[in-house]
Amino acid sequence: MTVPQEGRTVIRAQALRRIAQATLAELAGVAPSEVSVQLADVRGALAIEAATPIDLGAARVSGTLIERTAAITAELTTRFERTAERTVGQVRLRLLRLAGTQTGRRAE
Amino acid sequence: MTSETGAYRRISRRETHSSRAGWAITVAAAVMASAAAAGVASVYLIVHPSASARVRDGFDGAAALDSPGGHRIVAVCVAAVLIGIVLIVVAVAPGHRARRSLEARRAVVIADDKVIARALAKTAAGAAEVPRDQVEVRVGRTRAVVRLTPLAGAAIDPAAVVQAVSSAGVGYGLWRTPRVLVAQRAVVG
Repeated sequence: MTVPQEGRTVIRAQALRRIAQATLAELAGVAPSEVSVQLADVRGALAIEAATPIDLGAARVSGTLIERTAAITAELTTRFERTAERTVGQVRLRLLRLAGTQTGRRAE
Repeated sequence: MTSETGAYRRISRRETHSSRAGWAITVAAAVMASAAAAGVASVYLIVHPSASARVRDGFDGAAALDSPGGHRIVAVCVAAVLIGIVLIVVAVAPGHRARRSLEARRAVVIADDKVIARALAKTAAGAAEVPRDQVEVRVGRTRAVVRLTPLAGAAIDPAAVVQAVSSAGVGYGLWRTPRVLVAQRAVVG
């Protein structure tokens, strides 16, 4: 097992967006294609601005909607920082609608 | 061997400096011309003493600086002095070119400063952990200036960049501590 001495890994914006998208989709219990993510710089840290529907049945968090949103935001920050090795300065999350078996599917 | 060393030094100097010969010749010619003119004028004034009075009248007239003739003379003098200063500075200045000679045993190696800047940019990008296109390096005679655009969420350690660039730059005659400037605005990636 030789560790390469030279070389560098750079994660470009597109990849970062995908990481945030996939993570958020998993947390909210929806498909990644339903999640939209914008990344920006806030004084040197990364700002994530995301909009997603939430499936209350499939989401990985529990509690009231406010609690879930806060939990999703916190978990997204943690996972993103671990995966991409970038400091997240702020997360702005918008819930678009309720999706899933009970409500969303029938309405659509 | 000694003659070779001399030749190497001469070639290296030729490559890293631009020739001052033309400018030096111009200055020398101007000095010769004015000396000759002064000589001719003094002999003329000795031979024709009456001319000396006329010259004095001329200067008296010109001394009234408000007169159009006075203005013209002042303008011509100022222009001549400025041209003279420029000529002398150019003729005496070292005439460095943006390239430098590198250490090599049996050859003269001349590198353009652009090449050095590229090499240092690579070093800086590695130390700052940013992509190469977010690094800009300018190389002066003795110091490099590094400008970095950080990645959002990934802080740059300027001290590490200074360290890396200065140790890489010593071999290129950049002995002064490099300036490392990190942009306020980061880019996402």
